[in-house]
Amino acid sequence: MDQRNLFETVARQLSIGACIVDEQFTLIFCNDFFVDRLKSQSPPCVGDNLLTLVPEQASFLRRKIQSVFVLKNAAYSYWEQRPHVFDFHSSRPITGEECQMFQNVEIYPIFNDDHNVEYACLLVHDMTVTASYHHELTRLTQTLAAEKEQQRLLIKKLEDAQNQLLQSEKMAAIGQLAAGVAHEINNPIGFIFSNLQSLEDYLDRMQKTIELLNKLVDKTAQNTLMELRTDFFKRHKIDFVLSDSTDLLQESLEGANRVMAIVKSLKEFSHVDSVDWQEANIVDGIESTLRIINNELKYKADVTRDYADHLPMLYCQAMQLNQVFMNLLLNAAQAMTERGEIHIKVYSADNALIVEIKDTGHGIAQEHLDRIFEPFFTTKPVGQGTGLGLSLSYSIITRHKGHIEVESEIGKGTLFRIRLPLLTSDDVHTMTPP
Amino acid sequence: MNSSTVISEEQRDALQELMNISMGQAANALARLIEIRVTLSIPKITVTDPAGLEALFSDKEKFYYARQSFMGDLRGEVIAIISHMGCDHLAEVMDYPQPMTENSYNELVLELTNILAGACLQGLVEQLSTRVHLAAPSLFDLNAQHKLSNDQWQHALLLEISFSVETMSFYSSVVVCLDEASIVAVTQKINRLLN
Repeated sequence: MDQRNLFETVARQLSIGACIVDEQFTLIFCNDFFVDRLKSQSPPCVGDNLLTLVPEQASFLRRKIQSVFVLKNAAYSYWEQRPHVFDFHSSRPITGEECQMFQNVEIYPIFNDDHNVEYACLLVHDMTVTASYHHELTRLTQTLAAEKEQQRLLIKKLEDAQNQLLQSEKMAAIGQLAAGVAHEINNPIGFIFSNLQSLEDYLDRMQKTIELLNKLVDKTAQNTLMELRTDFFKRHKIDFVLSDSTDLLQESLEGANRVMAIVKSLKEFSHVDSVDWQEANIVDGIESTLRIINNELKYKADVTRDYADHLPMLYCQAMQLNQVFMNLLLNAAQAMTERGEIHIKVYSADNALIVEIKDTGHGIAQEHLDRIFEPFFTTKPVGQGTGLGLSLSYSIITRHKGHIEVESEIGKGTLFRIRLPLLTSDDVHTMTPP
Repeated sequence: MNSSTVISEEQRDALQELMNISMGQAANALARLIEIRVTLSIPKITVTDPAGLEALFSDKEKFYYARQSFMGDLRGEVIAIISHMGCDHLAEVMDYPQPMTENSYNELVLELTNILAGACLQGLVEQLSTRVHLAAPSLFDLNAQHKLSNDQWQHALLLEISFSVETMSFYSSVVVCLDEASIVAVTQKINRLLN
């Protein structure tokens, strides 16, 4: 075989597609790879116009080949951007998933002696295996990412549930603490109060006795006696002592009364039998809650009430409902930018009790209204509040087969409306509580 | 890093002259292909170290990056920096099928890189009577790659040419980076030309 034949044989048998065209896209040479794979009726042959062999990519190829002639530089096409320039059969017709070959195409200028481009040589590389690996890798990565996302969501759900549980337990513990403290204080304050009452009576008798003795001394009209008396009274400031004692006792009695009321509220608030369902008076619950958070409210808002008459008792978990009221009232107070009003209305309608808590605070933005019952949703800065209050309230209301809704306007205030249907023990205990 | 030990002032000036001449040819070739007025800047010649080179790739938001290797009498890489702005317009003029997808933008960037790199290199190579062969360009994301370290090279000679199309607010920059051995080869060629 002479050298020319040798080179031609090699070119023909190359494992990449090779063909040569002139500036008019006429095919000068095309190797076996090309011929074998091109999906056309008749095999390509010298003299054909290359562009007719690739009708779909004709304008693309024309542009690329032209740029090679004009710029005298190679041009390229890549499987990632343009996977199939030539319509070649897949090299894996049995086991492969693809129907066409993925290709990298390079187009080289072939210069003549005047350094002008006389021919363009096209080389086609079979990139199917690489493409296939790449696609598989991408698919796996996507699957992994999806799984990861699912796991993340699951973890978040678990964390939420855990936190809700913690919060419930905390509240239960606080309830128990409150009950314990109340119980301990109850006795001493009880006898302090009754002792004060006795003292009040004794003081009254003392005062009457002194008055009588005074009159008697005056009646004796004995100057020495009267002077001794007046002097003694002055030195010991008896007049002042008499009037001040009354005031002191009055204030002490008031103080003792207040302590007793707080103890009573604490006990009511933290019903020791906390998880038990019972008939309870909602208004009492609201009032005892108000007493407990009195300090929080008194500087921030005026509280007004509108309780309907003859409200029925509600079969409920009293402690939990008190938690809800406390949460809403505290939120209301915290929403005040300046001193405002909190209005509490309770009435019955449609076999249910309705509790409305309305404030004149800064209100909630429309875009947040859908989210306020979400666990951990809060607009407070980091470190203030848990963002759990409303979500717990929501779940407590749901347990009572009730409904809570909110209306709000920025700058005007917020209204929470809770609907608590009048349940019987059967309603609650025959079905599993949510 | 003392840049004057790598290439002297006299050599730099000479190289600058050569580049100015060859850029004119590049502009003509481009205009013939894409039929748009392209404004070329005067080539800027600097010597840099890896940190300096890394600084070129800082703005992924506004630019595409691609690189193309070349070998032969001179070895190195051409780095193309192509603005996102103006690509739509350019694609239309260059007959890219609309609407553009991410793939077509990538194709455009690679084609522009190939054209611009070819144009710059050809001019330089002709003037210096050397032969180089360009490989296929590829997209380049510095963050995804390892950082350029000082272990592989100390100095590179950067020849920076800007191509812009004002009417489209399109801006691109081609940086021809020659490795250390090639810097020596270039300076030797220039010395011969000067004498």
